[in-house]
Amino acid sequence: MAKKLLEVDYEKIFSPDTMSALKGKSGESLRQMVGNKPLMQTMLRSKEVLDQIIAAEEGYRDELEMVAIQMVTDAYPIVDYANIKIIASIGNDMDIEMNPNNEDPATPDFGTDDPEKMKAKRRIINGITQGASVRGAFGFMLFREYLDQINPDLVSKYNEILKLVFGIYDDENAIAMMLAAISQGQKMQGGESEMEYDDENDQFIIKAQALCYPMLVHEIVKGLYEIVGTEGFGSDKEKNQSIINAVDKVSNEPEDLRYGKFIYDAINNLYVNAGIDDPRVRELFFAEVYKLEDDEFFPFVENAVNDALNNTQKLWATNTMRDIARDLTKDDTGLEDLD
Amino acid sequence: MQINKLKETIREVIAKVLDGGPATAPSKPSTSPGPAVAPGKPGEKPKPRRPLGNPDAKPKPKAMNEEEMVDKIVARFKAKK
Repeated sequence: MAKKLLEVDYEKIFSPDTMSALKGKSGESLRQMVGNKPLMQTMLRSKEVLDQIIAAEEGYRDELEMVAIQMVTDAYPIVDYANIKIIASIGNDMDIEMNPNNEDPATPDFGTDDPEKMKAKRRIINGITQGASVRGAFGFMLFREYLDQINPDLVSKYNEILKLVFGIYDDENAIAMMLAAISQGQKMQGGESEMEYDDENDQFIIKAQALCYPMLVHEIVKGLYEIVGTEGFGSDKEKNQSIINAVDKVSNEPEDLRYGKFIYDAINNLYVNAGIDDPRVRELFFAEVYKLEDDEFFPFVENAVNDALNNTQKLWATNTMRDIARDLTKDDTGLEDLD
Repeated sequence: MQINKLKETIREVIAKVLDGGPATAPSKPSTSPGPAVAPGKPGEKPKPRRPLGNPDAKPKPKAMNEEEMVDKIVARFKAKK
């Protein structure tokens, strides 16, 4: 029997220069999100703000669940286009199994595929998934007027809790200290999400739950990008499961959260700068990046992070986004002869 | 889509969903009806040219602060002390 696949770290994926750039962005993010507050003060303040939010949302959770779904559906029109179903809950009443028993029955024969590269690709995609969901969580600002009517302090508290919770993940020592405290009983689980495919209805489903509204938005966006992330896999279910079992670990999530937002930013900026006025193109472009062969995928991501795409990569990105936009227009209009 | 246009669209939809009027803070319900569900629209429209997602992959759920992560990072923290 072949040996069990081991994990892969960012330091093994990216060059020292790229890691240095990612760590530099992370340090800057830490200063912006948390400032110079001591860690214990940050943690105590997080708990205080979270308790205040939970109390303020009491009685409004059902409406806020609907608002979260509607916000993501409108801010990410790919949800409608791809016919994705969303199930969302504030609280902990949903049954999301965090360690499902889906071990691969046997380590598959990878043939000509390189499992190390497949794991590295999956790790990058997981990072982007976390990064997209951190950025997307701040979309609650779109509902400021509605939220103000529930409680005029909510928006500022949402902003503060997200900065505190996500800011902490930019400091490795802070992560360690925070988790040490958690291991001693101070548990602060913000939420969880998963995606599944409904064979009967030929439809992807996002299941998300969280303690409060902005964390629920974060979890739904994470579920959406989890679906996008499956485009990085092939059609061999055994190989896919083997890679997932080796890489999709909660122990990888702190660094995915830390670095993933900057990898997401780098690729998202390509969409933003392309001047295409259709946000569905963004997620479909990420899907096309994920489908690149290894020898194109890794240099593309690394060059994007360093804002150093070569002309061929730039041309591919531009043409791919245009092709996607053209297909979307055909779908929207029902017209075939738009070329 | 312009951000203002997006905000306006979202407000209109939310107002329609909640009570058919302008966005107002809703009243407190007596019992929870369970998680909110947006069902999608199976069977209503033809397959898109750019289908999204690979049904042959089933990622594990993601959450923060699970026990496994705690153990690993606490060990790393202790090793640094």
